[in-house]
Amino acid sequence: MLINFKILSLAIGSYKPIAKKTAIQFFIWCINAGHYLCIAFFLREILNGKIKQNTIFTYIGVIIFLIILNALLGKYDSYFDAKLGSLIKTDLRIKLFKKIFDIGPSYFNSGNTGHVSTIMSSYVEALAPYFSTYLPHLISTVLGSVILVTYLFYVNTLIGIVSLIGILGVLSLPNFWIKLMKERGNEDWKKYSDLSAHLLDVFQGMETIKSFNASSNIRQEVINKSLAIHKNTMEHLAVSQIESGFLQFSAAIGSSFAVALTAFLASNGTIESHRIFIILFLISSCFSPIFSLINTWHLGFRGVSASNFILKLLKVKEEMKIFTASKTKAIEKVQKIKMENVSFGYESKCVLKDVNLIFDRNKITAIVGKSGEGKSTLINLIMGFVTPWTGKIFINDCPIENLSEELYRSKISVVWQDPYMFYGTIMENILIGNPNASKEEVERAAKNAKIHDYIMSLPNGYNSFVGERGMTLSGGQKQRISLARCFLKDSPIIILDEPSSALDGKNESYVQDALKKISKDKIVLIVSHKSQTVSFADSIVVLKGGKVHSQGTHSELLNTNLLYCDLMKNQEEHSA
Amino acid sequence: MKKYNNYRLFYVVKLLTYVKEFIWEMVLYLICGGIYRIIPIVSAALTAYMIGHVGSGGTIEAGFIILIAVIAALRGIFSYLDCMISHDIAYRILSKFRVLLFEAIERLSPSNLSTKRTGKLISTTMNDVELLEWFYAHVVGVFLLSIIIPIGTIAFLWNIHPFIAVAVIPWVCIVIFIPQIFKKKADIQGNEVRDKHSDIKAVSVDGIQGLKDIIAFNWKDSYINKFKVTASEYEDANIRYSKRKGTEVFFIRIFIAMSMLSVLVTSAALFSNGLITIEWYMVAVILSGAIFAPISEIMSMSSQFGLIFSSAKRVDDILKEKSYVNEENAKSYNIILEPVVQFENVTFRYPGQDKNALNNVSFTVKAGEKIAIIGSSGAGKTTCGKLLMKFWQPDEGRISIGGVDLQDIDGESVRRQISTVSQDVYLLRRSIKDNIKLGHNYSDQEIFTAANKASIHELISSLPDGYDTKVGERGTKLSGGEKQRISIARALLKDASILILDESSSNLDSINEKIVNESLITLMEDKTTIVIAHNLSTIKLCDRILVLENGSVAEEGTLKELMNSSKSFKQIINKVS
Repeated sequence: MLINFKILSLAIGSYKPIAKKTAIQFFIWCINAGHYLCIAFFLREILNGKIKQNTIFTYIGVIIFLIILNALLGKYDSYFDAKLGSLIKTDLRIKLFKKIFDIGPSYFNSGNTGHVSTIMSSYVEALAPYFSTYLPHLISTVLGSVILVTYLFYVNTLIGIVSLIGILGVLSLPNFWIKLMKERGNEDWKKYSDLSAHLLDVFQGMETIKSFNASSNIRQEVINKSLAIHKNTMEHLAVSQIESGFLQFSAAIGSSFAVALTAFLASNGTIESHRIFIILFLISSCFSPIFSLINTWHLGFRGVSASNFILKLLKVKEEMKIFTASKTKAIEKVQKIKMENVSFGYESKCVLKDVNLIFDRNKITAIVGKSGEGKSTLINLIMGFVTPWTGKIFINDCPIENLSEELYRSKISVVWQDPYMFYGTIMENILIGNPNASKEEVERAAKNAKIHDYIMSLPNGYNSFVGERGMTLSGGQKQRISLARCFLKDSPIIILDEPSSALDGKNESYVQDALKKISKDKIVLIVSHKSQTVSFADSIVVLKGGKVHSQGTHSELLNTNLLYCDLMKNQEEHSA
Repeated sequence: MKKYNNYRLFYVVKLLTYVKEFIWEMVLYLICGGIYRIIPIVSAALTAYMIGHVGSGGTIEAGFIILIAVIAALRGIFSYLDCMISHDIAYRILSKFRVLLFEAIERLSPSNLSTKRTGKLISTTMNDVELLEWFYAHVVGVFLLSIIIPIGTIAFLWNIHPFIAVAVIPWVCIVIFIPQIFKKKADIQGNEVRDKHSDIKAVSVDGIQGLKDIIAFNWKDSYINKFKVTASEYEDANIRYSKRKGTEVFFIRIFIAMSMLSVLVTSAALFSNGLITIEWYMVAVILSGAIFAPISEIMSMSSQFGLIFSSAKRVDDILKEKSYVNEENAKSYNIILEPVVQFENVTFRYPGQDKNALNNVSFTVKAGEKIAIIGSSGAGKTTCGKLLMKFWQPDEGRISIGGVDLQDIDGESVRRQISTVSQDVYLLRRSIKDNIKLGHNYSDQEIFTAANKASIHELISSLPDGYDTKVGERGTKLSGGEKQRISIARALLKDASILILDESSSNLDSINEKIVNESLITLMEDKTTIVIAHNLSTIKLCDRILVLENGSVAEEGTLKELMNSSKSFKQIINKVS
């Protein structure tokens, strides 16, 4: 028996339908038993030889009635099985998906996408039969067996004991195997998920792989990984099938052997011979669900081993839980973002130390520094993707943890260095900024982001598909589409993370103008290095070694700050 | 698949061709699986016989009981063999499918994959293939057994009394016929279920990879909703499938039970008239039920046929898809070609577009020459590179390397001649060293030298795990400049005589840019180079410049010539830098 309270917690909210399914299952058991009893009684009467025609018809009538009832229930059961599975799977998938948002993006940088998306699809799929098939089957079989064994004990203690041994064997043997099975079951899933994640990676990188003639080596990896699945599955099966063999043996002892024993005892005269038909048919009707329990136990087991991974995902630390308030009063007008003594790092390495900064409304602030000096971390902190080790971040004078996430997110938008394009059209991708925007508004945003002309040059214009991850677009085009999202959202805080490709070349001055225009009334943060971009900013923050090295305008810094001059000089040498 | 009626047969034949190499294992399976399925029938018949014997006043020996115990033990042994052999065959074939699918996707990439979702491809390679396990482990052998065993049993019943066999046969026929009625519906619904299932994978991959953007644009709730809709649509399809399955179950159960009932009544009549003994009466009744065990095993699978064959179709569709790049007459070339690149009147249009990406483009790059291709986005610069890499092929005109038409060389050999440093550097989810090696057998020393030349060695060595540091997915843990330098190291190691640089310094911060440019100069030494340029600094490194406009060559010349002669060029240059 595989009952584990942690697993049960995964189907919370579906207990009622699971109970209903169990009731249906038990009802089917009863009808089956009734059906077989009828046959047994019928046989006994035939043997007695004194049966009347009327009685025959009554028996046939009752049996046909039970057959139809059984078939109808079978039909309903098949539907309800799917219904129950659907409830459990959908609930769990949504719960997991929400969890992913609570965990936040930092967790998924280290290569978990393949694994987590396999959990969402395959693991959840494998868990459902545990609840929709195994559990109801188990409970109804146990109930039925109690009734059967009670009757058998009433007829003869020895037969009762033999049957009980058979049933207990089927129910308890799995417990001895569970540890062996668990290791291999987990390994199975790991190998499976490993190949899946591997394929996600190599399919997405296929162009690179082909460019470097690495296909045959990668192919060998795929062969090894899929053979590993074969090997592991077989090992797992070997263990589970030895167990299954014992289960089959145990069930056969409980059924055939018990019947043979009955016959033997009856021929000795120990039990009355008229009972033997009842015992024969009762046992065969009762043991058929026990035999099928052996099959469903494997379904159940797959679910149990999948649940380990699901539970583990549900326990991953939620980095995004910085926003504790569920509802807060609206912020009238965002005046400033303030960082007070903020420190943060990954694992034990400190990346930002005691940062104190204020970003004001109506201002464009640039953050510059070499890579690894903490620019991206600063953005992650302001976005609330990670929680500061020490210090606080404020909007106006309100610490952001006192705001609701919903409210905070509505105030802020970001153009990432590598913005993600979702599967769909360009229109849909821009509308993410504001799903209620009109076509005109979208076009205006695209014009401001200087991407409208390009879009119009495409055969399908705004309805062109971007391809997966925006495959058909260049890095700069993706950033400009993302910028259009940003203009459409029109939030009081705008962050541009390395917008160099969106702002480069001929578009630069135009997009800058648009930015200047919208920066009225807004807080704009630009993480960048380009002299042109930085020079038009109202204030520039130079980061070094996780600390604010200096702050000022372009000309101030050029005159006073060596590090800044160095940063700018390298830039100019190469682009002019 | 010509007609719908042949749909299943078509895929059965297709799927069976993969069993060929396991034919002896299959024979062994049929023997073990046969014994495993006959045992319960024999044991049921034996016990029924005994019960009947005792019921009519006879006695039995204790030896009988031991015989039953032995049979029970045999059942355990053969259940083990049955399962192990069938699954061994099945999982061997599944691994084979996964490799075949990888090969197909490798072949189709990138040209055919621009419209496909990776999540869906993975779903086919993992989940659809997994579903075929049902076919190989639970259908192929069982199907034969479910014909042989019932026929044998019916023959046995015929021996007891022909009337009993006659009472069973019609019901068996009806039960076998039932799935035929629902076949078409099952296939359509099965397709729907499998397709919607792959959507779940695709939407979750998109959601996780785009997490930062979803959050940044406060799109979370609607995206969760979108996922909810996808998940529910899949389950709705599942429920529809199961409802139909339920109807099948309904009829199958009725007819199986009716079979038992008719045997019960027929044999009762035979017994009352003294035509059979009580022992055989019992055996007949029990066997009339047992006969359906193998049949219902295949029936319960047949209710899954809709899913199995739609999975088979999805796998087969990818395996047989034709690549846009025709490799029919292409041969593998092991020699190094002279690094002269020639485009002759090349015209090319992406499928589904109504504008040519390239129009009658001709140019030559001499051995060792460095040429920059510039132009506004969408002018066809990147397309030139992709055509040269044989990721696509021209609709008209001819591209050649060292005088050999690319049509005559297979893509693998073409790409052996060329190194690339591209705009969107993809780093695989593995160690930095493996990313530089990309499966080739370079020695550590070679790798360090290349990394040194690419100015990345110092940085890698400073990481806690050095070259064994695992790159975050999609390279997110490294900056743009660092990624680019790793790709330069790759190109240095490959050391092909032709080099394509695609907008190689567009995405970097200033310090990196200087370093990258220095490594690029090292890389370009002595190589025929095509630079798809964005920055003046890289343009300056080239001997000649090609200006593309709307897919055609607008101008050509050295930087000096063009600066002096062409107004439009000056405009472009001003825009570019």
